[in-house]
Amino acid sequence: MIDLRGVTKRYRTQGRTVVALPPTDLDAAAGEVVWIAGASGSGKSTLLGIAGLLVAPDGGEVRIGGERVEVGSRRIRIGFAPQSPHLLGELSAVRNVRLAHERTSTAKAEDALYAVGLADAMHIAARRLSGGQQQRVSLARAIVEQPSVLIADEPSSGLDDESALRVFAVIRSIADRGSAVCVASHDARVRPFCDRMIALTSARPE
Amino acid sequence: MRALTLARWLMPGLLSRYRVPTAIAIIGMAVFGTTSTLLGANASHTATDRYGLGSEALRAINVTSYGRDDDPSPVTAGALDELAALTHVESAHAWASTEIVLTVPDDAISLSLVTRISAVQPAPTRGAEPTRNGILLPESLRTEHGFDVGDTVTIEYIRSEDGNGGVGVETEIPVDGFFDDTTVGLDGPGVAYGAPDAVLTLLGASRGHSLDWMHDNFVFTMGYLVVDDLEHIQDVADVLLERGYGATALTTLTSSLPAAQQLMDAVAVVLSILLGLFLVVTAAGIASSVVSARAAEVGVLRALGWRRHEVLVCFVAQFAAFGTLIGAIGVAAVGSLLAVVSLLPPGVRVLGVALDPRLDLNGWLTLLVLTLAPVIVFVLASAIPVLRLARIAPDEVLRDIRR
Repeated sequence: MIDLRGVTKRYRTQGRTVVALPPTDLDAAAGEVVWIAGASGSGKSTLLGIAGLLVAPDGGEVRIGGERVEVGSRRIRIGFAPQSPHLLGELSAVRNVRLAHERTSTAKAEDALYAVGLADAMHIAARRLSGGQQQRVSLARAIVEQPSVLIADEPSSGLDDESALRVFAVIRSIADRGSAVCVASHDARVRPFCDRMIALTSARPE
Repeated sequence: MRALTLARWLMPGLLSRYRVPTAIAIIGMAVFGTTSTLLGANASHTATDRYGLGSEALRAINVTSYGRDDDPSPVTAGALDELAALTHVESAHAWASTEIVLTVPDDAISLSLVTRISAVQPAPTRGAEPTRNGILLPESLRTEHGFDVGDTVTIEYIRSEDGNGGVGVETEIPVDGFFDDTTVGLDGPGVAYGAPDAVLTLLGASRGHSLDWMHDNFVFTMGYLVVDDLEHIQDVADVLLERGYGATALTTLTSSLPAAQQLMDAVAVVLSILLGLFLVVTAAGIASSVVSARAAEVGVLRALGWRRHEVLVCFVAQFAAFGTLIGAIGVAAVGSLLAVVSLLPPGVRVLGVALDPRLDLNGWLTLLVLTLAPVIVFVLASAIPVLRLARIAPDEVLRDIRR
């Protein structure tokens, strides 16, 4: 479903060029969960940004469904759950999810929240939810339109065991419904829910 | 569409979060708007307000002749009718005076009975303007002799006896009112006021003429023309001088009046500018704060596929609505304050400025500007921060934006 070949990314910072991501391959088939592991600064978020078509790679290519795609392509449905949910705090969970897409209806948003186990918190202002609940709202926002590809960046960050396992189970279920899923995480608790793992090494000055 | 939906969802939170600056902006609108409107109205109404710089007295031109029958430009009733038809002349009044004696207990008081021309004479303090046969007496007579409105007093006037001098004739007339005589007016001390025909009748009697004859032939000592605007006094005076009359306007003797009027106009302009700056600072402050608070959320929205123009529309719509709300409530407050002011008795002054809540065209234009200005100011003042917000790239979300 998603296939990244030799993608690379460099940044200029303080007069130096830093290789944020050395040439890297990543692929995930439909129904597959791929765990991207690596230390902080190894380029996990950059790789997810390239996979999510948010960051243009300096080299390599990205194919989804066999078709070469570029940053900003809107024909592909990609769900993205960032490391920090950054929900609109005064809006309810269901309204936050409705913002995912122009065509996202309240009913669809409620279904997504139900799927992540937030049936009882749908109409509560996001700022009143716990960190784990906010993370699940963010995940609901990413999956509400049944994306072909789901990208999740540290989805269990700051969550207790119960919440983390629940989030991973949701991610697994999305894959089981046919999505290709890439999860970047430090959290080894994700392992049982994944099909494969790739490990990244640290970024370094060029 | 979703941009406007989100704007609608965020508005209550925005108003709640910034309720203090919103309240201050509305109060500022109300105070500055009311003051500016009142000052503007005051400056505009000076041309017609009897309590203002442009009262009828100051718009009056004293028209004189030599008072002789061979005067080349005699001030007759007919001549005044012609002068009344001049451009910019509102009204023309003939001035006449005759001597009367007012009978009081154990005494008699000599008074000059003068044609009542309210534009240039003291306003009644009690009662009303003199009717056809009534008289307006000085307040001092009321306090000294106990007269009151509605009383009947006895006066004596001179009636001519076919060229053989005159005889005193007593008659009773009603007292219609009193005026403040503590300050001597243009007519001097010891005057009472009567309706034009009443004065002319007594004056004619002392000379052996009927009222009709007086209307057709009498040459008045002087008259008054009331001009429609301070600006036109000089033009009308020039015409009078060309026609051979003497013309004196009080306004031309007080050169500071136009400057004072200009000062009031300038104060209104300065207040408007202050209000504008106040709104700009408020709007820019709120916009910057909102942009800082929303950067991360907008980054996520951009990562979810929101386009720049959607972010732009969403936040511009919020600030336009914000400005509309402040404008509407502010102008409603201005209207309420003006309504309260209108309940005050006429002539009330604050810091020397007459409170005149009447709205002329300029007043309505001021209110229109006050309504629209916050909308425009809020949209323009928020433009730069909102453009900065809309420029957030989708990949910013990967850097955990903290602006």
